[in-house]
Amino acid sequence: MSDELDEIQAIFFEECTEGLAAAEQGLSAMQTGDISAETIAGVFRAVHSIKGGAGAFGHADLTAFAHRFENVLDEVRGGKIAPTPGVIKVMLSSFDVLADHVETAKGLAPRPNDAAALAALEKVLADKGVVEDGGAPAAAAPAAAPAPVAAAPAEDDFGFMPVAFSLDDFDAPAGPAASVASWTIRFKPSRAALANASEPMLLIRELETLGATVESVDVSDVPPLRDLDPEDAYFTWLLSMPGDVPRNDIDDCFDFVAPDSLIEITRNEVEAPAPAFEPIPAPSLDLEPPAEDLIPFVPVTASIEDLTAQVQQVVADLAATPMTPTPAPVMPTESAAPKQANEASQTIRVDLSKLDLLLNLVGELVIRNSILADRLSPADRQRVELPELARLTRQIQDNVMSLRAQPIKQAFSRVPRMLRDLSVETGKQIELETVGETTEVDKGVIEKIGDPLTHMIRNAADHGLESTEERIAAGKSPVGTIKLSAEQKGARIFVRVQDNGRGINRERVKAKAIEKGIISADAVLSNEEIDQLICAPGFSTAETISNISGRGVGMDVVRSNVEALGGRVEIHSVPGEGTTFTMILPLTLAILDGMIVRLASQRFVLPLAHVLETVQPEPGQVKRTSPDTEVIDMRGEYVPVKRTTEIFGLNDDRLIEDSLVVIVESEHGKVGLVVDTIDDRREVVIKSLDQNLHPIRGLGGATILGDGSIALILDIEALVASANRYTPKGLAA
Amino acid sequence: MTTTTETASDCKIVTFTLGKQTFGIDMGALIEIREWDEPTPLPNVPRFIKGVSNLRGNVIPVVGLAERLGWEPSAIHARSCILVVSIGGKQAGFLVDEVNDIVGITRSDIQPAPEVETIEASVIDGLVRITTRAKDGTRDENGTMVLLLDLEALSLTKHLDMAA
Repeated sequence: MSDELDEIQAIFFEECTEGLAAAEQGLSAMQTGDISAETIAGVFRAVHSIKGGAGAFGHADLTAFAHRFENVLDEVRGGKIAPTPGVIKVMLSSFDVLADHVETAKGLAPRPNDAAALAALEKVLADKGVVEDGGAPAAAAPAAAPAPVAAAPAEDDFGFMPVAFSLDDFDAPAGPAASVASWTIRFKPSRAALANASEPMLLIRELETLGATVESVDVSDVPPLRDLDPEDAYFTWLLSMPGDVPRNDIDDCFDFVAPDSLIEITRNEVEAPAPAFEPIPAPSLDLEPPAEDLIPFVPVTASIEDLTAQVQQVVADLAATPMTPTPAPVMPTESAAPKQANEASQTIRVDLSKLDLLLNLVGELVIRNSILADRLSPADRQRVELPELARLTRQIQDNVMSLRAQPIKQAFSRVPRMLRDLSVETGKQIELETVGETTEVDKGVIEKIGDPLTHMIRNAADHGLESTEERIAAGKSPVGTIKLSAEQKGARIFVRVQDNGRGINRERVKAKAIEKGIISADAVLSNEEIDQLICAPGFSTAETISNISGRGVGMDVVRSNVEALGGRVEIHSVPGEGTTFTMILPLTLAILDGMIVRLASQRFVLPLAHVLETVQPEPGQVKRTSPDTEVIDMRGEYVPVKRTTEIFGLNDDRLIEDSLVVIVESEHGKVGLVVDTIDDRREVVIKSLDQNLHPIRGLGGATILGDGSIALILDIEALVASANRYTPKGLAA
Repeated sequence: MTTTTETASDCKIVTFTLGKQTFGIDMGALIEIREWDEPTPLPNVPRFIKGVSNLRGNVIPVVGLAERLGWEPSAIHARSCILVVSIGGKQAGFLVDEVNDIVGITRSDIQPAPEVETIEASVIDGLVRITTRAKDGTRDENGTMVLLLDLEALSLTKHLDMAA
């Protein structure tokens, strides 16, 4: 049971993360002037559902803070507090504290000091109170208005007590208001409530803490003993609740009740609309990896049926994962807010390992499919069924790949918070502009660009942008801008961090590089080369080492991280106008556009992105420059030639005129690779070697070809580096 | 492949031969037994790594176990097998001459292997005697000595780290 609870809690934390992202997005939109009711309601809903979940899991501090925050948001939503820039600023800082509280609830951080944020929130609420007093108090609670509106101020007034941290304190009924008609609650949990970890007892206790009393219990649905399932719920409870308890608070208790439960909350014989509920997703079942089964002597073919069954199993599993509609519960008593349920897309939460398993199995299916095609007689191969099967399998593969794609927004989401902190630390005014957040990238890429992105943003804020005084002196706007953008170009993703700061001081960078011994004193470098020095290991130009960046590891880490992903970093700087760092990344880490080449009967894959051209050498075009180095004359340019066969210890007695030379390029320069033939060009699924072995120099991984055999993927960067920098003794050197 | 019915066995091992020696590994680490299939050779790896093979979409290294243990390389023949094992979450295939049996042993019967002076830690976990069935079905009362392998010590990552 506690494991299940942990799993549900993990889902809650995931929802918190989503909620925080939504709230932040909304607040940022408000900051830029979008104060539409929809935006404000979105922020309110996000904070509200965090509060609801936190209450259910007993995170009192988080609940209490979220509750206060929600109070202010509620007033803003109701139009009682105008969302002035000052108010939005308070909400943004409160949001940061809320995010810290979530971290605390996860057990990742000590409890944040929220006194300042609470005080600021109180002040906002209190100022509103003054406004209301000055206005018409009667108008604030018209007779026809639903009771919660009337009840809310009382609750809020009570909430001003600075010592009150527990939700219970807020919800204790305010005595004098008790003349309001009481609530009647009829609650019949769904039969499967207990299986969904929704324990009616806990819920009734929660209602009782609000002041409810159980009037009667209807046991007429309890079947005879022989039919009774002790794990099913049969009772119907009738409770009464004092009328001054806000409807929202009652609804909150039912936030996590199974959807098919019967819940009726009535007052004065007026039927209230049924609230919307969030179903609790059942804990996901762990799929037994098929590789764990002991299958002695697996035949090479004949497993296609097994695979199909396994794929079906995984797909069925995915479908069985319960739907989680993203929007928070819609407040039924809010007549002003239109129902927003349809604005959110229907989503499913799936364990990533399940997707990877599915991807693996589908990949195998494709391979088995082509093996089958090879074994059939030509007449059978012409039939329509086989190409149809192949097409369908390919489609499944494409779809599974697309499942892993996520909007890059996830990686961008932590930037605004970071910049707010940086702005406080550096005293600089920074404005963030984001473009292309919806660009979709493979989940693996998103996970790995977080760190480089953090470094780039910090670098831009700390080194790129000038101080406010400097900016004014230079005749620029006092507010510095950092533009974060993402766009897809072909199979690559461009992520840019652009500042409008002072640009790279090339004189200083060069002097520093000489001082640090990175370049020699008489080196003649182009502007671009000087800019690249920023990424050299151990380089830092900051005069004082700040705690933001300037430890001299930042940009070096950026470059190595990005290169590890198969990408590169470009720097463009204009003195006085700013600097742009561009990360150019592959769209996915799992698929590579490759050229299949043959070398001494073994097949290899060359990443097509690195291939410039292919030539069949004329006699005399390849010249020897030393006993073991050769160059090829490419229209006057001498490109080093590398006998790939030597590196791999394969026999090569072929004349170079009978071979092909593939000219490849990496940032270390060009090199010509000698291959026997070119077989094909196709997209291959990258299987990393270090999953079961160890990274091997010169290899970027392996892939499984159509016939089930393995082809090794060459790592061009390593091959070119070894050709241009070292004597070609092979990669083992 | 019948299991001996000795009482009080608390551990199952898979036995196989390399040359004339009988070895055993913990049954729990075994994923499957495959027919020999020539793997794709890799560059820049120790000689005992024969290459990589495709195990249902996973690329796994294939190790010549005899070479790894310092004996003559196994000759490939009709009964050559690959034992696919899981070592610390990583999978690897071991080329062996023949798979014999699955037997139950008692942990307390395992005797320590004699200390040998080698550069690396011993990959032999211990020695154990098992009774085997002779070709005619009768029990060989003298039994056979089985060398139990320490899979952790055979971990490829560990070894390659040292080589690199």
